Amino acid sequence: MYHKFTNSIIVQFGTFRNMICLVMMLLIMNTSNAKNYKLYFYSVESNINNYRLLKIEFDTYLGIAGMYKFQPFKNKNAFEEYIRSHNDGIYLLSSWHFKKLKDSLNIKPELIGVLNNKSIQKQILISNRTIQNLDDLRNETIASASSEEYTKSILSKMFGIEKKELLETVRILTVPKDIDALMAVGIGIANSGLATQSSIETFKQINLNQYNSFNKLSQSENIPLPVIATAPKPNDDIKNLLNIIEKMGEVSDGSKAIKMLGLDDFKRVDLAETNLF
Amino acid sequence: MKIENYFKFFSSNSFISSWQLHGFTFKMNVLTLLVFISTFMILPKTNADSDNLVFIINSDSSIERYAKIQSAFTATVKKPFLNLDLNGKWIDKTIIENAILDKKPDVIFCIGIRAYEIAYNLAEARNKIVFSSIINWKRLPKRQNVFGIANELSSAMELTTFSYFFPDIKRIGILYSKIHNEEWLDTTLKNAKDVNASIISKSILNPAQLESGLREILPAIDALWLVADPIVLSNKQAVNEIFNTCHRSKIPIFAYDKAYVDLEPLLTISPDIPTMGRQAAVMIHDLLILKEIPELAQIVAGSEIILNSKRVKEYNLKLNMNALNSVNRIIE
Repeated sequence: MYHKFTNSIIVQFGTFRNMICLVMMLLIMNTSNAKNYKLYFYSVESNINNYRLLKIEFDTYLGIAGMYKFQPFKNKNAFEEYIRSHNDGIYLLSSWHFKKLKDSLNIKPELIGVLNNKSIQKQILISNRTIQNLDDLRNETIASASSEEYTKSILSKMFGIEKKELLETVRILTVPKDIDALMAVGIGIANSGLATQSSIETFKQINLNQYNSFNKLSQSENIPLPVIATAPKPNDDIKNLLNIIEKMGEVSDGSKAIKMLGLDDFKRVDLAETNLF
Repeated sequence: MKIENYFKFFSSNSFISSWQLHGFTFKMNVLTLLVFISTFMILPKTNADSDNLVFIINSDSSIERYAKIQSAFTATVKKPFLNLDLNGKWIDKTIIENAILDKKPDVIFCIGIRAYEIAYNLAEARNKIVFSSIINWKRLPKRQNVFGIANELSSAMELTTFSYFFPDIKRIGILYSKIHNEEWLDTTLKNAKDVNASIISKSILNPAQLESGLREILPAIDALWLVADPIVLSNKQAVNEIFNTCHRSKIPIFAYDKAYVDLEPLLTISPDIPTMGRQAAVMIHDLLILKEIPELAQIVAGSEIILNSKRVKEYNLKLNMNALNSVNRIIE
């Protein structure tokens, strides 16, 4: 059962040849007068708690290209406050968060994440057999790897205005990863869980029995993947940093760093995608 | 936590059954206690039941894992709480008793074994107690109204994680003792079928059988799963023997605790500490709305994962790169 799975997604760690290619490519792209620009990161969509690891991986990649650094934020308010006072870098954030901030901060999306050749995803609400429909969720716990605010905003749309009161009764158990949310439902710690469609498909490949025990209660509309945004007229250094990030998926070390965000790559935002924001 | 400290921690939690919980002596003057009862926060009232009070007793907030649990708990619980930090010191039990009588907490949340001893001894039977961060919780003295978050992950979760990272590893070896892990192994054998893995197990009766047990099991397995078993992991020398023997045979090890990271297991999956605090907060909410708690102790719903990429290369293993977004730390 793993044959297709292993063929499609398994690669080994980068080789020395890849590293040489990376260094050459980034040296070509390097601008000698690059300032200390940063890629600021905050995620509401996933309960990322490996900031130190992300910083090491991104700094390793970006550092080769110039004085570029990766700056993750643990706290949403601190992230927003920083952007408001220093509109000088580029920002990696969820599309949901971007939509909330774009007008007040005057930022525009330049790059968008790619996963399985798509730049959109769906969130799926699943349950174990004790929950048959949304009404059964009263006073229940929903496991989710996203922040409580984001989870409740997704649930709010799923429940609709007529079940607004139901949302007040559910409790969100924030777990580190989508796979934890799914296992929490599988083993009965929570009777319901919210996870991305791609995580659920991956879970199906790993643990079919548990997957078969899930009910699908609801699904969200298409949600664009995380975006990288800048001020409307980026300077040359920022443009250079965007180019570097756009090429990350082409080399093993860059690809490895992107995988840690749960993505395959970044690409330029096209006109159709602009309308999604 | 280093391996030496781990054994200290392990042993301090292993003699729970022989403890005399009654007649326990607490020593601390009132002034110091006032310092330790550091926080009395009344959170904004959001609904009718927000008058419920939670009494947090932390065995020692200077211990990182205890501090993390408390921090995640207080960030999640939407109830007013009173906080007592024992700070690893003795406390006059009458003062705590009076604090419980005076404040009448609806639930006492205990972090660590000392906090639990105190709550168990001093609280009235009607007080609900929720424990956390206690190894061997099954050996605790218990009564009605006692619940908790176990200090362990489900074997189903661990097996699913192994398969997610290394889908080619199908034959997983387990050394165990029947006295400590027979029941756990029965459940694990069933869970292994769900991820198409086979468990090759070998039980040992005493630490002297470790070497022969290893010799027997290694040729038949793709990886060894180190499980918490005091007969298998009887001392530091035994642990070193397991790691050295496996490394010589290029057999990767899956470990269950960060204490082993320096010995370079391929993958370490341990309970995520903040998740324990968040789960306790959700459990307390359920208790306060009188929702039935199906199990006395809930296993931890989140894991912390450390990957040793050096071992991936040395053993020429295939790693699912998509799993990297689940890794907390990589040892290069």
